[in-house]
Amino acid sequence: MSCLMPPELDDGQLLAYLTGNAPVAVRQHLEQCPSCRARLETLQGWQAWLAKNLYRTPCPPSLELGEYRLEILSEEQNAKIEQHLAWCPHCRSELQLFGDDEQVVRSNPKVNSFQEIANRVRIVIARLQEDLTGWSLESPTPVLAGMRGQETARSLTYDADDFEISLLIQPDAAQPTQRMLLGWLSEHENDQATEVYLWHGVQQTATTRVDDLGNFAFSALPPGRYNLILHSDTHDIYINDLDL
Amino acid sequence: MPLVTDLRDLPLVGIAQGCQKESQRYFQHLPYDPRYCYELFRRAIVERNQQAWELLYAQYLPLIQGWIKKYKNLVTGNEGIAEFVNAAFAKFALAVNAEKFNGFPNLKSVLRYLEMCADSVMVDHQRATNRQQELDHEPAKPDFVEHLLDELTRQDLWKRIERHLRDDTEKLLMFSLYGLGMKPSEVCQQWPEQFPGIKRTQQIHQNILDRLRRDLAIWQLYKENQPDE
Repeated sequence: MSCLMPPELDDGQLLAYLTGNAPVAVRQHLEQCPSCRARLETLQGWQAWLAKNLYRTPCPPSLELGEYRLEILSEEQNAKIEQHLAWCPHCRSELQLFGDDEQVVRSNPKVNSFQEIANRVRIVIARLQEDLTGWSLESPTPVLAGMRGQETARSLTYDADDFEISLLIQPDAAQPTQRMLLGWLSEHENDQATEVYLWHGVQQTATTRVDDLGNFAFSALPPGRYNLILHSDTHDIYINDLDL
Repeated sequence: MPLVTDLRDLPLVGIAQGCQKESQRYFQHLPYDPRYCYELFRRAIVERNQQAWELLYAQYLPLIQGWIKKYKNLVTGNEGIAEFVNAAFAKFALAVNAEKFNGFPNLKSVLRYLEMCADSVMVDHQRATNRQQELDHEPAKPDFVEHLLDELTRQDLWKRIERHLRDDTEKLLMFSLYGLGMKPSEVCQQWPEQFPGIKRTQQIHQNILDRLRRDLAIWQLYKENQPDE
């Protein structure tokens, strides 16, 4: 098909028509000439495709914009972003969405130095002092208890800085397949709240508090390997790899 | 020697426990020890410890949810929030490797980066929403994988187009017309120094389009994306 009203319209005239800047003569030509109209449609499709695929495509990825905001980009990257920001109102506006510094540290001025913190909390890994396996509450003689075929208890004593921790592991009377863990913390002061956390794998399975007399207890614990953590404002005591 | 001076000696659960307790103190505005949480991040990122990741996720889920909820106009329902939170974690995990983590001097800087990742996810969503509104008039869905693939293809196209642009003026024109969706007259108004008249602007535009159409790779990509006739 060729132009019905030569000379045919050039791309510049077609482009002017698409952007609404074409003179009347071009509009009239297009109304009467199917050939030039077909070329117009191709150009229109091409432009629409570019528009669809390029809308905000040259903008830096949002993560890069965020890193610019955090001032952790190289000088070269900064310069590139700044040139883009000069051109792009969208990115300038998005930059405002990235939180300011103070949002993370929200009004908390009491961040102490590491030395102050170290003085506040002593972290101690308890050391096993004594492991008495095989005695029961009924028979204080471990060997005899085992011979009677009873489920036996296990008594462990740990040393942790100024503290001593005694643990008794025994079958849970209410659920014989489960375990009960009884503990006692020495040097426990009534005004000092101590929380006890029991972890099984990476799950925190139980928590309790040390009572006024220094005792704590957990029941209905499935057999397995645990970590026990005693936490107070002055101490964190860890008993690792406790087999129940 | 049971006294611990280096948190790297503690078992993972001890670190998680400490992070949890110290975070509570932080939110109660009490003096707190940031080292536990920093160590949890370190094990997750530097040591690539999967269990540390799980504990980190559990620990910071509420905080990230809070950050996402700031964007009330972009988030609808808890399901949406969960997807954004996961996307923020994924973005953080992909962006921060051991080398980058070692550049974070303290917990504050790590959390700033994590918060930035959450913001970045919301910026991506807003971009996708605006794009849909601008081009298709359909609501955007938070499908991050699809979005990423789409984004990569379009980035390639732009890089290819950039090769045909001879100077910053041409680049600015293409960016304004197609990247921002401006009309030629608006471009002239916005950048009178570079584009003093509509006729000249149209000429530059036409020259660029001619060059692009002569690039077979671009033309082929265009043809492939056309509906079958």
